[in-house]
Amino acid sequence: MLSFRKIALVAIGAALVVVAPAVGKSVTGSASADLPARITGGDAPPPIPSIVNTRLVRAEAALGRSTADYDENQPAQAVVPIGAALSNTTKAWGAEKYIIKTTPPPPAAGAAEDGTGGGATAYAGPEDTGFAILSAQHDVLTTSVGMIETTNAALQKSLLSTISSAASAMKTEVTYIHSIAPPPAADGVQADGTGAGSTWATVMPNLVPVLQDEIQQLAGRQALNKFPSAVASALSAARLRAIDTMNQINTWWPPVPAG
Amino acid sequence: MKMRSFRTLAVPALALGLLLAALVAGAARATAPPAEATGSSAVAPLPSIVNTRIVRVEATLARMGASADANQLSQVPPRLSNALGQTADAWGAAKYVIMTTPPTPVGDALGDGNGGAAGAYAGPEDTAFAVLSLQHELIAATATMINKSAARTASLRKSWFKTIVSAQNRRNAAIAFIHKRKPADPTWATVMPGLLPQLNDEAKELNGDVATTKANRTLRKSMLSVRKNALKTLGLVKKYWPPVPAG
Repeated sequence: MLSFRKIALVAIGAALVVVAPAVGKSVTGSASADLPARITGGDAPPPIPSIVNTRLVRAEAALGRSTADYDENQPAQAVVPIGAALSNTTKAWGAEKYIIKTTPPPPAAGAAEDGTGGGATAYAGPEDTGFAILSAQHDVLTTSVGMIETTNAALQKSLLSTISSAASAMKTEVTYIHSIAPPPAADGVQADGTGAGSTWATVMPNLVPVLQDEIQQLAGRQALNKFPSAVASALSAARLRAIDTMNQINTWWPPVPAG
Repeated sequence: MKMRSFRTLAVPALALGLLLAALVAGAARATAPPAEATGSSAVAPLPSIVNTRIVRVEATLARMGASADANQLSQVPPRLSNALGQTADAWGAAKYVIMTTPPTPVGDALGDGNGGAAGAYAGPEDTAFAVLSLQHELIAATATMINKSAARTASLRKSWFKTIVSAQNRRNAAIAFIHKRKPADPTWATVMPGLLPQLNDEAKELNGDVATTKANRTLRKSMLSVRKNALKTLGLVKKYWPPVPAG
């Protein structure tokens, strides 16, 4: 009797330990440790709206299947899941556009500085949701780059297409966000009066280190491996596109000077 | 009746755990990467060039454990070989990060290798430490596989010890590389002693294996040999980066 009680508790704990690092970004700590503390209340961030979250969870699961197939020496089977991962992030962005169009701006008093939406909303706002999608696309791209040395022609073709598509999608999304976002104001209050909380101006600069990481991986893989010219030129193109996107973000949402 | 109820609880509990984890992980994406220099207990993520490898090694080790538990031992050697190869690739990528990234300012790297607070991504020291920890994880997971009955299969036995010895040798080479290249960099001195508890843990596990598996002479000799390697590495780390005296 006791053993099953223990199993039930251990099962929850084990699930949290096993799944969180797989889906989260860092392997050195729990996924939730990546989060900045909230200004008030607990440290738990609001969840991503289900219309997007279900897609992101499926994209991450597909990435896991894809690398598992590849590492199990079944590269041909990795083609479908890598396509599914890309497709789910594309659909997640479609859902995000719907959220952007249908979510009213939060009241000024309910906004929290860390962009988690404050006390006014139970779920993450469009800005944090958009950032989650961009991060997932980054994961799709970096995971694909990690398998690019494959000798399986079908998988290589699929990976190159995924890398190119993910890089293009990120650039398109950044451009779209710029087209709808109010210009950042020097005092941290947006022109739309939503206060100093979760705004595109506070969220978008966080994409710069993500893109730097992508650029480092693309450059590093080319420095460490000798790829066929088609692969090398595709990786170079993706790197240039990431640099372009990063420069665009720095222009549109310039980093706040220190102090 | 009660017993039954807990049996039925275990499955929904697991499902609930998975659901919660998925929600938490999904939500976690909202604000990554951590950018706050102060006032946050954030852990910096590892650079993707290394992180993608580490995630794959851990997944491979999980699959290896699952196949061993399902008594499909023939699937263990190829998975160990894959994990070993990926770990070597992770170290190659970490070397690239060390050679191309400026050192983390003193005080920003953590002794436990959990990442510095200054950058959005972990610096070269914490990245290298993560790979050294991965090597430990690989050794520990492989040592767990060792048992008397499975050791009768020569291919399995060879696979275990080849993996452990290769991982130990590569870890020694990594330590030597760090020491040779960055002897005067003080940040390494705060990170590298974090290896000592891992090496103690490794020696303890191998000791325990020797004591509990009732191994025959050959198996026992191999186990003691890899334990000796772990203790040698422990001595090397203590010599290169002596622990700071308390107080």
